[in-house]
Amino acid sequence: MLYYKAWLESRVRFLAAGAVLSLYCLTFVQRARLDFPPALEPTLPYTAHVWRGIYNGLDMVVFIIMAALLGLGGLERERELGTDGFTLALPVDRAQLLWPRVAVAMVEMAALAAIPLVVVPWTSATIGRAYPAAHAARFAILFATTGTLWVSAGVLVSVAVPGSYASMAASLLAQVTSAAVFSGTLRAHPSLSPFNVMNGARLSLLDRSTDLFIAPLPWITLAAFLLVSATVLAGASAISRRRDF
Amino acid sequence: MLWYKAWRESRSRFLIAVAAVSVFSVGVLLGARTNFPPPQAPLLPYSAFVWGEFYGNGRAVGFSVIALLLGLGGLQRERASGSAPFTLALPITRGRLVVTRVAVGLLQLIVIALLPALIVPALSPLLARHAYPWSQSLQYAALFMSWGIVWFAIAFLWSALFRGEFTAAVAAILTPFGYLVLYGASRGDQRFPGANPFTMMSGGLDRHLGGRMLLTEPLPWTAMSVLVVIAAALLFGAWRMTVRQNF
Amino acid sequence: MNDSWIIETDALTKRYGAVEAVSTLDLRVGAGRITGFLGRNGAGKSSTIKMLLGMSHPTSGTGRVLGHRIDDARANREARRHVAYVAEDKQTYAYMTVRQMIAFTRSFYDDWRPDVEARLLRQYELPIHRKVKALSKGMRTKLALLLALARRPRLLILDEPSEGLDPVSIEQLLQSLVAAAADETAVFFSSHQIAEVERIADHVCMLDRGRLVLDASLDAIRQDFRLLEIGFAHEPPRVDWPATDVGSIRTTGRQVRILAKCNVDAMIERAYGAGAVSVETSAVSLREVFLDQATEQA
Repeated sequence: MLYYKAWLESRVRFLAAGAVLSLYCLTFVQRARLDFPPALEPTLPYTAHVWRGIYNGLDMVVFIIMAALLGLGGLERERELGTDGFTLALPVDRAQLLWPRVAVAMVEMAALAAIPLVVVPWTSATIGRAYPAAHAARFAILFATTGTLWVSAGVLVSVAVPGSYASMAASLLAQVTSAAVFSGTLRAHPSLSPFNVMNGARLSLLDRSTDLFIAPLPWITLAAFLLVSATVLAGASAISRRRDF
Repeated sequence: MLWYKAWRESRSRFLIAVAAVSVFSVGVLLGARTNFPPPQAPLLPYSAFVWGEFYGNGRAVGFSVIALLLGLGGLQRERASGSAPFTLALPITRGRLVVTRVAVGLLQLIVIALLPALIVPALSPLLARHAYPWSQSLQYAALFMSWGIVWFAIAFLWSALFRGEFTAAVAAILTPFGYLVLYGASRGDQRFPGANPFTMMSGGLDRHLGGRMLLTEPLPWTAMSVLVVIAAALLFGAWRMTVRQNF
Repeated sequence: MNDSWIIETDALTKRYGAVEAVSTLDLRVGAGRITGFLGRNGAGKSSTIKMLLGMSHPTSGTGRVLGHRIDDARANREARRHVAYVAEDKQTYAYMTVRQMIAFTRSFYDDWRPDVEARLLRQYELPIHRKVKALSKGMRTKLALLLALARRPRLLILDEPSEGLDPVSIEQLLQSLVAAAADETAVFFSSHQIAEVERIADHVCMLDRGRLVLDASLDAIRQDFRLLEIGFAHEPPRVDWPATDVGSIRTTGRQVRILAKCNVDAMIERAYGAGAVSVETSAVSLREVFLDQATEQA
């Protein structure tokens, strides 16, 4: 039932984000019926157009923001609402309260990551264009794996920062700041940047003209991201265990 | 004391934003000692570098997120936390509560917009060893504020409508993106390029921005005035909603 | 530590910065009885309960609930399987309906009693399809009580359970608590409603400024506690009253007022031996004991 509770607490965020992302992917592809190829780039491949608009565009931005928001909530929020007493009196330990929330958030994040995979290939076919599902699946894997970083950061902030709005601000601004740092100071190390890894930007994963995969996924980097996420979540669990309510 | 209440309720978000923007601004300028000019663009003007780090490349999204967060809160949130009856029993009108919160929030937003506008020209000579014109940074701050007040007002309105904190926040944060979806779907970038918030905030309406990314045309006062009117209308809507609500 | 105690603490202390909310508390709550937990606002009752349930960590000292250590997360979780708790706020999840709240809570406990759940739903007239956020304060209180009472826990902890209830519902609640105790559930409830405590409690513990100032059965209070008004012809002499016999001593001019916990006859004799010209005794209610102890500590 803790999974059910976590679902009820996060479903509005998830469904709203899913609706916006789905609508965006749908309208982006449908618009290509009229606007593609762009007048200034008549030889632009369709797959590159999709990459720019979706995997390096609005879909990516919304995905990153919502992944962090999916990680928020938890006992600090319940403390504000006055339900922490009820929840903490349940015969479960604090880790058992945290992990279902994390699991649900991760599944929801993965579902958001899969939206372009679900929408883009078949809607492209309806406008007479082709976008290979296999490549969309690879982007989904990159998004989902990198997304674990955003979710786990959101979870950490939710246990460390009291106040719903303060934790939202901390979570979102940490993302914005890290994006700026990776594109600025750490620009010389693109393979370290989750923002580059999630869509292959500035890495030698993609063909420069078609923006389709020409190299295997960076499994070691993805494994490292998962390790970082797990470490962050372990830290969040440790903080939650020691908190007084 | 209503000002103090509004300040206390929003100060965590505001101070986090101030810290993030300040640290980022100083960090970029310090990094410019080694990162500027970038090896792949050795002739890049410093002004273009500043534009890329502070006003272009999606930085407007970050400011927009801050504006949205500052607009959240209000009586619906107090209803959830249980303090609404206390606040409503005070001998003040609901309108006054709304106006105070709007005033504090907008002041905070102005401070956030001005932070890089002050830090960059002031500290560029010292940290990055290049100069950046005050007039440019202040104009960009004005462009950021133009849509910033609209985002603030949108979040304010959603907060008046929705009881759940996350519901209001998610609605607020997704609204700009939902707007962009509809904008794109209706081919607004071809018909109304000025209606793209991030294009306008990053100076994209200036046809003579050039390689230096310096604003040369007057600010789009008409468009900015329209945005002020839109923000005022949204805030008025929030005020009406709050005044008529049952608690 | 003794296995027959349901709740047992040993020098339990909780400090919040410079403030000592609970101070070297030695609390003993026995099985199968109703214990009232009294104290003024800020006395440390809620802080004590939170430590017992593992919500906050003791600064020092130890404690056990149902034989399980309170400072061991795993042990405390085991204890909570057999503890039902009604918090002071009585807040439950606003986004769930009454039915969903019941289903959610029921899933955690093996001792859930569907027949009691059904009876309480009827008795409290709770609308099962309505969301918690749409319930009145009284309804939310009743829901919180249902979630605790529709079980057969070994220990029932309630923090101000009657707050927000109408008189009929309060009466139903008190009867439920008595029934729970008869069913071998230990009831430990904090309340400011002395009359309620007097009606149903077997034992009373009173906290003031984090310290236990009273730990006695109600029978003992009724039978043995007395108020002695001792009058002297001149300034009262210093008398070494046995500490275990005296609850409080107050001197006003030539009058000495003593709350005696036991051995009243011996104390009367000692008073006359010290030169008292008059000694009046009267029975004392729990409310008077509470006020006396609270103002004494002040």
